[in-house]
Amino acid sequence: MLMILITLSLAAILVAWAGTSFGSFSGGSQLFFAQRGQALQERFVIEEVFFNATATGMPATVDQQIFVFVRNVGPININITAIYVNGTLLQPVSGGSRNPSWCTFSGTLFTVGMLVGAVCEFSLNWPNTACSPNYCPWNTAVTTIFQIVVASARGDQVAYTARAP
Amino acid sequence: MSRFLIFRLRRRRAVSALIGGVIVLCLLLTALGTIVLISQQYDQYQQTVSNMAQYSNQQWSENLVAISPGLAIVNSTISGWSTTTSTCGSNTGTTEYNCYNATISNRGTVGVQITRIYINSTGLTGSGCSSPNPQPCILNPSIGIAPYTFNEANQFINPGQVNYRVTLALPTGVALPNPNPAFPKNTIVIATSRGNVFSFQWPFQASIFGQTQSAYSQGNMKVAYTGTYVSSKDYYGASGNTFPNGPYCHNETLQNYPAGPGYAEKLTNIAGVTGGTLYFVNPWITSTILESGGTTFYIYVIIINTGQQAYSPTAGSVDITGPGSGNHLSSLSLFGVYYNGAFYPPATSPVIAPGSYYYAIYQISYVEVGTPPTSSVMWWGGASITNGLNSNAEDQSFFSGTILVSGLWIRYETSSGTGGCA
Repeated sequence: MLMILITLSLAAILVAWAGTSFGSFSGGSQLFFAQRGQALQERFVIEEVFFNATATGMPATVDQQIFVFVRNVGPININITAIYVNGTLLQPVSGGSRNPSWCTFSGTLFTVGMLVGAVCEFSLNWPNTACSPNYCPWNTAVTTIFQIVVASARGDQVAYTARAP
Repeated sequence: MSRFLIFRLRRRRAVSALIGGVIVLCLLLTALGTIVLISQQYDQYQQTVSNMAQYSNQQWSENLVAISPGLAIVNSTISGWSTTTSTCGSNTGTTEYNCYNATISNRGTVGVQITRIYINSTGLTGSGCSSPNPQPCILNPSIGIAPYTFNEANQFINPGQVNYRVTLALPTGVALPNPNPAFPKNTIVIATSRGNVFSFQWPFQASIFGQTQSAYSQGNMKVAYTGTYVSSKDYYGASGNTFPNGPYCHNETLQNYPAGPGYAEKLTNIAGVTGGTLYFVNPWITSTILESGGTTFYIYVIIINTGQQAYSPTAGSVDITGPGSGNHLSSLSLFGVYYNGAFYPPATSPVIAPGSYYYAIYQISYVEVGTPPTSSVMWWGGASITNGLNSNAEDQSFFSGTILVSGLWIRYETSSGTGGCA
């Protein structure tokens, strides 16, 4: 009888352990598939990029502006968390009058939530300190190529290559 | 069942097998439940994958193509969009917009929703969506006419729909194409709801038999006239008339060559013209003035040598068509060339370097069109330079596509040289 009780106890422990393991496994997989599914549903594009320059060129002491238009074309809302220009993380400033109300920039923590179908304009300052003769948007004497990467909170990225100005 | 288990336990028969079976059964059920749960999650994920693959297929199936003339100016009230007080073109007492119809065909297999239109201009200065900085015009859909918008009713294009027109509105200060002859091209970028971007250059690059032409005429066309101005035959009741019941009063601001499309452009030292000066104005025309007798009209078309060889335009013609029958004009001879601020008769035509532009001036001694305002709209279908272009790639005829012009404004020169109404 004692052996039976011991066996039953061990069996109960085994079943409980198995249930917990399977439960955590299924929970983990659920989280994995949910996140993967949401990341898969993210679709956003850079539909336009242009540069702010003048006919005679901007003075070298002035930061240049790069305007990036990002549209959420997927079925779910997204959060844009970073924009890289030639590998440099740039902090967007206000997009100006062309931006709709939902494209708001708050504080130093850069996260812009974009509803389905929304388009946001990101105004980036290309700093004068980062301006070498080969990477000044207003320097028309050289071919200036900018590799722009926009990243979302779920880890998706879109890239856009633009020549300036 | 309980009696069976009690019996087994009391007799101690096959108890181990029983307990083991129960344990295995529990483990199997737990595992089965987990497998079922994960399978459901995987199915949902696969459903998402399938949906997004279908989405991608639809995305790849979009194909919008711009059809000639690409953009065409509109001067009328657009039903359901503009109103009598806020309309395309000029009307007395209304808010005016520069409206254009973009002609687009959907050659894809899915319907397309246009979400935004960007218009870029080549070059750094000037109007035409590039002033004061090279920022594009950004047009969003709107249910009512407003600056920098396009008609929301034109937003959806069915698959296979051809020559579909999307009406867009710009402020009156923004004129297309870019009036700077050195940078005449605009890039029209159409963004769709699925994230595709379709673009085309406008005015279209001239092409005949699939070959790009080396001479290229753009949308700017202006007219001038010499002769006696008869104010009684001016265009009464014209759109944009300063006085509702008076003549149009051709009061465009005068500018010397080169001038923008909204100005009266003064060209001097024109051989064969009394006084040697022609004032080229925007193309509003009235048959009454044209038929007044003793009037000679001049039309210029801006032509750019887009080829790699220089040539001399020593002869040519322009083709003009108005509505109705009997309003087709052709074989209007090349009167001369205005190049770098100097006039050259055809016999002494200058050599036009690649990338350079010039005004090809054509002469019309007599024109008959319909009675304004109902038949005042004319368009020009192209111009040709018959000398200097002599290979298949440099055809003797070239066309910029039909561009609608809403009539013709006539500016006349008074004795004081300032122009104005009689």
